[in-house]
Amino acid sequence: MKYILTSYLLIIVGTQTFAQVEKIFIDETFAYRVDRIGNRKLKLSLNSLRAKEDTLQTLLEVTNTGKYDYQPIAWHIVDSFLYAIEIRRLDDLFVSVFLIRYRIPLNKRKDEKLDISKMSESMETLYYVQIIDKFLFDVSNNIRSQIKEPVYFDFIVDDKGLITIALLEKEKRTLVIYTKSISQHEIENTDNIPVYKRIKSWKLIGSFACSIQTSFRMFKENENLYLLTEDGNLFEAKSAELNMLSLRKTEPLVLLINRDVKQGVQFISVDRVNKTKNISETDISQYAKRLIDY
Amino acid sequence: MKAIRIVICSFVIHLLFLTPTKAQPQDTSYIRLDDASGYTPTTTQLNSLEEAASRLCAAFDSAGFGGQFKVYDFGFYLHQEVAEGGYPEPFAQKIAEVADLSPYYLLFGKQSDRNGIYKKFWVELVLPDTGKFECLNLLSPTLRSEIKQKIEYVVVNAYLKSGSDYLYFDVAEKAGIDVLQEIAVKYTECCDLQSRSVNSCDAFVLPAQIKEVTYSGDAYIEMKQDGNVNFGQPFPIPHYLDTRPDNEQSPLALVGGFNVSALVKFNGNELYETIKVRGKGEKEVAGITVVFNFDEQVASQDIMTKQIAANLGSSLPYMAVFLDDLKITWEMRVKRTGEPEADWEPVGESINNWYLTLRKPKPEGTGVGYAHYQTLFEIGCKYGRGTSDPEILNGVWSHFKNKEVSRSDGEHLAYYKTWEPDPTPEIAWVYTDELLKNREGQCNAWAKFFLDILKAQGYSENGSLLIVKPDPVSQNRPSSGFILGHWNFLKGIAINEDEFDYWNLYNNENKYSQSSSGLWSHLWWQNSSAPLPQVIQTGYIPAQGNPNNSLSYFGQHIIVKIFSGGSEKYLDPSYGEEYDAELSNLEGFVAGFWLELLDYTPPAFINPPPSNDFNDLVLFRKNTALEKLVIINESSY
Repeated sequence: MKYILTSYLLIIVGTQTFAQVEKIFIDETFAYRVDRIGNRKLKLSLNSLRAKEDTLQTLLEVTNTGKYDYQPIAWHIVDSFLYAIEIRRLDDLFVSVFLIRYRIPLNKRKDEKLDISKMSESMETLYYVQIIDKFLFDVSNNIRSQIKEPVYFDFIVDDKGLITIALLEKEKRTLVIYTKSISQHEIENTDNIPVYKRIKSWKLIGSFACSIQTSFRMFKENENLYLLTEDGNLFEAKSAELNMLSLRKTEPLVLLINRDVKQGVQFISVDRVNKTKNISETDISQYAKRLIDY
Repeated sequence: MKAIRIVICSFVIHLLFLTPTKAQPQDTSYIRLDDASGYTPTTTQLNSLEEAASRLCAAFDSAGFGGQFKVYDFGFYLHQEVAEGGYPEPFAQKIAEVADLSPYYLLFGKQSDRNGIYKKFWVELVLPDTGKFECLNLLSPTLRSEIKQKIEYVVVNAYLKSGSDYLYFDVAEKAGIDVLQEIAVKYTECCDLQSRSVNSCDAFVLPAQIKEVTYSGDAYIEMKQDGNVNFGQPFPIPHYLDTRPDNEQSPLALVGGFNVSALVKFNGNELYETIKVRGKGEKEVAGITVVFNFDEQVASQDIMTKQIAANLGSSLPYMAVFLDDLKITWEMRVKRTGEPEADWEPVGESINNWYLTLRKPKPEGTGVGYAHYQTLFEIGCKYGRGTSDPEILNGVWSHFKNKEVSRSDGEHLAYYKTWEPDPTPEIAWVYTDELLKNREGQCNAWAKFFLDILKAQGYSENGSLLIVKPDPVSQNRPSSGFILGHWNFLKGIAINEDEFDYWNLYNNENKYSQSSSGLWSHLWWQNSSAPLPQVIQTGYIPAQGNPNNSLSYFGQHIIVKIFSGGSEKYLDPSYGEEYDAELSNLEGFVAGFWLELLDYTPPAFINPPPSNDFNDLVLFRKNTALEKLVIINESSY
């Protein structure tokens, strides 16, 4: 257990330097998290939850250039895949957005040492994320001069291959959420549907007036969508409203997301973890649950 | 023998009464110069004109200008319409010739053209400015031009009343001669201090003079200036002001097919019992005569200032058209106390550029750079002249195809003339107003500009902006953009990047350089070991206002889709090119595709290594027709 705590503490200390909400995926063996390196790499770190010093790292290419390079790298892990949004600069004003995917290698035997050094070779550009591209284009195209208020987004992919993307436009104080299944993209490719008509297959599942002013991370639990903002506020996207949920302790928070998507998301406060050196794994879970006051 | 006598008698009679007289004595007052119409006046006509001219010349003789004033008559054929604001060339030449013949004169110019004989009268008048004519200038600085204006008016109207029939040209000329004779007598009395009478010195030959005109009404469009000064500001009101030079009068835009109101103000010369005002303007455009009739209205007069004001209205033709220097001739009919109502008299012309749109322009958009700028009307009305959407679209597009689009003040507009503005502006030249202000813009601005021209005409179909990019799904490693025109691909050492065979190094913070001659180029890292650069531009696609140096390295390109006659058109305003729905002809301009990777660690074999600034990589692949350009977004505009 102490190894786990050590891992978390390492993660959390690193997180504070980014001053943004982090999400950490965990499975039975590792805690997975990323750091951004420059504007075209991310560093994937696998912190072992069992061996004290066992941390694996590899550099993966995820371009994030252009006028949206303040946007934290949007990434998500599902099963053995790491998904990320790549933003490529086109000119001073516009970018192109792609979903890329890396395959996380699996151990064939329990005693086998995991090797992620070749993981970068598995990169594939999965598809062109037209909805973000169009959203950013419209924002750039319809607002005079260069954008002064940032645009933030995050995404999740569930185990059925449904991608859900939330886009926050501060200028308009609105948040929109779209979904589309990865398999739909494959069908469109096969059917040779013109690219510009594929925008219609993105489903708008919510448009919310909101006062969120920071970057955020999105997660899904019990079919409900939640946003955890950089300043520690938690929102639930429900019906036509974005409700702010009160947290007992809010700053800063880490999202613990189990790679087994059927299990719940947990929150943990850096402050609390720092003070609690010897709580059990169950306690962490219980503690995290209690942080949410609903 | 009897028959012979009859023929001889007939011939003599013909000579006496019908046959035109060709030779004129040198001491005649009415002198016929050459006449290209082929018509020869009868002796009766000439006698009548000589009598009138003699009376007129006698007035000058008695004023001390014996033999120095003559009346000349000249007929010419005009092959081409005269430029606005001047005399036709043959008449101007004749004025110069007549000036050598006589110091003071009244010259009639009878214009024949493809429409017939004597279709228009021109008048030139030169009066003495000494002796008994010296005081004209003191009475009023505009008096001489008003006298001429009155003579012109009388001649033209007398001819109109005669049915504009060339056989009655003499009636018109005689009316003008008679009026001038009355005026000459009047002012020689006035300028003679010994015999001056009160009535002879009113200094006015016309009841009033135009002061200003302001147009308004439901059809009126508040057009905005888009030149180097007062950008975005409405044009000054009143539209016409007598104290402004003609070329500084405010242009006006109106919706064709509706009515326009004109508030016309005049400086009255005296107080009148009743006043009526009317106006008329006409302009021939491409064989069509566009006529404006401001029907007569009763005017009001301020008894203190004598200023006269009238509100008049005219219907507008239903068409998109530009009327350059349209003159409205204003006329007034007054009744003085104790006198019968006078005839209509000219009281001045107003001159303005008029833009008539096909329909009501679409409303200005806040924050999207679309306002009712003059250039939008200039191009739409001038080149899109017509009565239907297809005519407007085809006309405007034909103009764009020439790649020489100008602002309303004649300044050329260009596509990507400056590759990297210095300093980088806050705005990115992607809107119509930015294109007009900076006189250059990106494809985004040109696409909007083209659609804004149609919007200003109330084009019934909505247009769309289409974003064109390399197909994001066609390759394992999608490119980020493409290069247009002519590029050399030099085979060298490749680097291990999928599907890209060529590469250059550059500095993302300083990508371009400008030569002393003003031409821009890419600033690539140069090295002989790779070698680098491997991809070099050698030629350009001619673009708007920029035939040989437009930026050709793009992430995306924006073109226009518009409906016309039930079919879609794919137009590229930046290059003045039309494409098919598959964009195959645009793909023909594509030399290759690129993918940028910033902060790249250069391979070790580059010797010497590039400076730290040149650490950005761009990968290229040739256009082998495997990769397509596709429309990835369509947004209504």
